[in-house]
Amino acid sequence: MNLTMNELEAAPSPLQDKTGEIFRKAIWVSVSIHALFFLSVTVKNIFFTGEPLVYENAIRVDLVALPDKLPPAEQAAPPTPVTKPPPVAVKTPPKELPKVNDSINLEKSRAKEKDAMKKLREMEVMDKIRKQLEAEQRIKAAAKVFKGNQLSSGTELHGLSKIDHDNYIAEVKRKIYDSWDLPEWLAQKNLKAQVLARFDQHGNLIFKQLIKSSGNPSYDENIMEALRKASPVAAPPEKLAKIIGQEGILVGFPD
Amino acid sequence: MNNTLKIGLVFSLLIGFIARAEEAKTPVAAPAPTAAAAASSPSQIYIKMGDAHTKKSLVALPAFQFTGNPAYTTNFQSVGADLFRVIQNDLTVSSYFQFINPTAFLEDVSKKGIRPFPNDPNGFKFENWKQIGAEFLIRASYTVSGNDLSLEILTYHVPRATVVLAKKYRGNLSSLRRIAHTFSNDLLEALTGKKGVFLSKVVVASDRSGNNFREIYVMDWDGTEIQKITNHKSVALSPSWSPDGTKISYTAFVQRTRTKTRNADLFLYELLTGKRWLVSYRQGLNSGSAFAPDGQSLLLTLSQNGNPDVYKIDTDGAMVARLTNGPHGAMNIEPTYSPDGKKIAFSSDRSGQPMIYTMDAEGGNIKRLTFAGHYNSTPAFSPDGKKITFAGWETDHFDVFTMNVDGSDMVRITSAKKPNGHWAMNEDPVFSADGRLLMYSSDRSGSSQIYISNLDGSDERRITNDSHNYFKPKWSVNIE
Repeated sequence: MNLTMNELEAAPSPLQDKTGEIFRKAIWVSVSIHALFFLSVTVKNIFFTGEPLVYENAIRVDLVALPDKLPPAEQAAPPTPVTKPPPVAVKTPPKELPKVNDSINLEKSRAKEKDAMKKLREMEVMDKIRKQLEAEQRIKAAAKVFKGNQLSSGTELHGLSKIDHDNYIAEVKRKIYDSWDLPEWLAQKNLKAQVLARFDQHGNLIFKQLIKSSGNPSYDENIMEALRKASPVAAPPEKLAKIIGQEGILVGFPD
Repeated sequence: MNNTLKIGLVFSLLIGFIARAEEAKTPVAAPAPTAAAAASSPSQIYIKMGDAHTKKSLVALPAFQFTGNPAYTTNFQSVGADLFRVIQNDLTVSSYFQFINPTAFLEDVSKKGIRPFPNDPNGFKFENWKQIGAEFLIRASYTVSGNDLSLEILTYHVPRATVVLAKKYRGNLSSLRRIAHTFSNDLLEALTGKKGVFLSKVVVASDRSGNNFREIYVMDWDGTEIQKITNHKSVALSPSWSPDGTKISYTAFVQRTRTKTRNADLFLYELLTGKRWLVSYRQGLNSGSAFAPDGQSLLLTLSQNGNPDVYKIDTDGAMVARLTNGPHGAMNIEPTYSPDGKKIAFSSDRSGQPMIYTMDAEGGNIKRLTFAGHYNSTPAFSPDGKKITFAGWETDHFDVFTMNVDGSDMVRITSAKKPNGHWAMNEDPVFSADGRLLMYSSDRSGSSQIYISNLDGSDERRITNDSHNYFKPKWSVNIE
């Protein structure tokens, strides 16, 4: 009982011993639980993969930037004191104007006309330049940034151009469908083929090529004939004319 | 020690919860069908045409040329006409063809050869057939020498001026119809890859022989060549084909020689040999038999244990298994296998009224298919195993219906009135072996006759043409 300080310090105290042991045990438990956790996660990811993500039917969204700072609400202007309107000076009618010589006036008026025409033309040129600049700016603006808390049009086709586009595609499909005369004996076999078609700006078929054959020459011939008979289709809207003429439309019979 | 254990347990539980939260699956968006994809980016514009509206192909079928000696074959005209009629009827029923009226022909076919010009200097010209819009042209010549009939028949695709099928058939004059049916099957196979069903036969119970007896008859699919195969002078019913078309099973009320009592016993009859034997003669009903797709066993309804239930027996009649058992005294009847032999459809009144059920071939997994109507019976699978046809009772008559094998998409096929103004009974439907036609009995003419129609109920055609009664027709495969 009567242990000196030194002795106490020297001898490992029973209390210290116990905490050290507990500490060691705790470390082991912790390590083993961590190991178990990592093992289970690894095993899960190797052997039990979750369902694959479905990418089809993705929708296109615009990335939205942070919103601008809204301008501070305008403060009400201080009320202006009501001032009396200044007295209106009554003008006396001017004396009769002296008559001007006509001949001199003609030259002057012609010169004035010329001047005016020149100015008009200059204004026209200015107008043209301004419009060009605006058009360029609009094209640049297509790559503009969309900011949050501001309703913007996005980059999807919208409004009239989307309606035009959808109407055109529907018209083309309808025309081809009406010209597609498939005999019953060919329809039995679940045949599938794809044709690339290009149309000019009047809707005439200018190019057709079998991209994916159905494996049955009669069926391939039948769908090429359908395209041939469908021409001319509806004229494409301006915005699509280039794409339709160069890249064309891929038509799947039946899909 | 206890403390560390507790800590460890809590820790692992926490980890477990975290792991499960991590596993939360993202729901898959249901795909929205698009008929035409819009180009929202300058990538390929794509149009899906979808299924085309189909049309029947126009066929020019001129009369067949006789190339024999009329002096030796005085009936040559009727031979040619018979061949012609059988082929034309087969091709019409196939629903692929429409025949051009001979008055529209531009060529006098009796003066032109059956091969095209210039191969044959006197041959026909494709141009003359293109002009009338023919897609196919069938030219044939036949000759009879003694009792031998030979037919040479060429089918051309007119727009492309190519031969689709060139065939020569020879046989006895008595097999004239068989020759014609064989050609029809071959033509369909050449065009679609699948043989037609024109060499198939129908087995049916009928009262043709009078005296209120019902005997079993076999006939060609088109109602001709009717052959009586039973003479029990009693009531024989519910016949069924073996999958290879060589045997027929049927039930007949026959008298026991010793006890003089009658019982509905199951018989098997072999067509080629005429052999007949008793298969199942258990007490009560031995009826509604149906062969398994491998032909090695039969399903049938036995009532020996009180209620009619579905049993499986082998072709010798030995019991294999009892497949249904009530419940509560319900009757389970009219069993039929799916084409792959894995499922059985049957009719059961366990819900109170007869409805269509399916179960596994071993008897478990019983599922109710029909919930509509008051009395649905006689189910039959389509050859592709995707549809079931059955007869459904409505108010005062049966009509033929089809549905998917899961019970969805029910479609009514028949709806006809009798001469007396009442609705006709349309019952016992079955599919053709190629799955393109339905056959059923209908009393719309006043007596129960056999009819066929397309799968949507269009083009209904009467097969038997008399005032006898025919019951429960079953349609075989092509019997070569």
